[in-house]
Amino acid sequence: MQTIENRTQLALLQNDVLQSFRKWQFWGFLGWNDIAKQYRRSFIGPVWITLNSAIFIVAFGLVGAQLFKFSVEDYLPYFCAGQIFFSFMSSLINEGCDTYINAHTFLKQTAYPKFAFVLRVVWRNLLLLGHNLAVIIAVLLWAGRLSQVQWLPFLAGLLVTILAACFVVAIFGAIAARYRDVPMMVASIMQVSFFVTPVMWRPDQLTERAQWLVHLNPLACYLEILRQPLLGLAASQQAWLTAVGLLAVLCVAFILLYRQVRRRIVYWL
Amino acid sequence: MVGINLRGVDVDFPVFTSRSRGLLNTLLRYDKQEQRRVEATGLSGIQVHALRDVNLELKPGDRVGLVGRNGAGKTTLLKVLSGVYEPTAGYVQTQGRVSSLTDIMLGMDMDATGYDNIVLRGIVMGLSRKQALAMIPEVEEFTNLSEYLQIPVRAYSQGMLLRLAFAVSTTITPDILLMDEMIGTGDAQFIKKSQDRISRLIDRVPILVIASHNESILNKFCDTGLLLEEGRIIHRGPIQECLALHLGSGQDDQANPAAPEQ
Repeated sequence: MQTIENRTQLALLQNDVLQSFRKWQFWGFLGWNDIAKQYRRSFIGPVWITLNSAIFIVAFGLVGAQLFKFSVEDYLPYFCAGQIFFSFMSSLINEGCDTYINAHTFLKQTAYPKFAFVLRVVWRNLLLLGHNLAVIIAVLLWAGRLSQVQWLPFLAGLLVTILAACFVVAIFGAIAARYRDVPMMVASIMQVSFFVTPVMWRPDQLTERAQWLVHLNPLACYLEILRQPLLGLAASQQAWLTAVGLLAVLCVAFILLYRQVRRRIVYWL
Repeated sequence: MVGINLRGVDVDFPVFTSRSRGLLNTLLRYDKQEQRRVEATGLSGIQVHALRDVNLELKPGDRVGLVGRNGAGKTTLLKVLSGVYEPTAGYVQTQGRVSSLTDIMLGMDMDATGYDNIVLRGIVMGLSRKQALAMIPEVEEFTNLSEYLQIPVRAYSQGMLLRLAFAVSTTITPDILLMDEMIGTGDAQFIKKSQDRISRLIDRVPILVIASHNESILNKFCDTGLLLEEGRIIHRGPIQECLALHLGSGQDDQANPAAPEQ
């Protein structure tokens, strides 16, 4: 009896995900509207966010190069890419927690496929990343390293990150809908993780004994496969293996969790 | 064929206390006493039984009114029919496009223009962008908002906003229309216009389910009634019969305040 129940829940989950992709106009438009909202409020809209990060990146880039004794041409692109991709990942995780909580007006009125709201959050953050990529391109251009960029490995890294992000957003969204203190806990963990992830420092600056900070940090491996290709370097094999392995783990966790809780999410809102 | 089939549907809501709502609380304060209670009853946490063993088959031509006291399960039943709540037990089979006119402003953005909101609202109701754009002429004509449609709706009066939301929401004809109380809006002259429009929409839809406390609305639009009490359908038959039964029991209520829900 239990297995039949589980199999139908699995079929319903599969249907939910398929329906979500079929309704791309729905989440695509909502995600786009989340960004358009910022444009409507002020003319340059999310460009403010880009400007904000540009100012922060240049300012700290100059100081950081002095602190860590690197040349600015080396350090600024490194920190710039690191900062932008890290904030992409951390806002995905933070906003992931609010996926269903924020969508309660929708979910309590009509039977939308749940995964569509996950795609909305991921899509919205990709649009923002698109804005911020302009800063990276400008910095690379200034440093004269734009021609060295390895676009294909970068796109592969981005694809793996996006897939992982979908599962992460889905998992955190469901857990946070049930346990309302999770968004706060996640926010404070993300704040700390900025310092323990090689965003502004390089892994080789750590002592041998502290290398686990990089090796055991899931954010570090995704950061590496996104950042290294843009700097014209190859990401380590270990980073790729960890990123892909983690993707598989997240996929399994997503399926196990959603088979149990997918139909209960609306009850928790 | 268009229709909805409910078999043995139960809906139980978990009731969260501040203690069970947080992960930290749940993990840290899980005490022995609670554990014993869970083992003894097999239930963790408090549950409200909102629907119990509901069987219902809706076919084209059905005009159903849901009757019952507050908390009898009318809204929950509508939400099961619309697919919002997947039942805790039993099963639901739905064929056709369901639309519930409960929150007609859902998805609207105060900072967007009237035109943008027509498209937004259309997409939220399940249309493609192209189909949503195709609604514009009809909405323009019905709302008479003319050039106001070009400015952000935050500048609208409450009446104008409702008129826009109402026009967009009633443009699409679903296969199954679910309503929780009648929607109607606006000033005296607009009320007539909107009532005509909703009546025409109701005439077009194959299946209608309304939950309402308003006798005349139920008599006007429904022929069948379902009387709900404590999450069960306790009577089904002609709408007048259900209303009579409901009103009869209602008088007892006044003498005898209703027992608290579950």
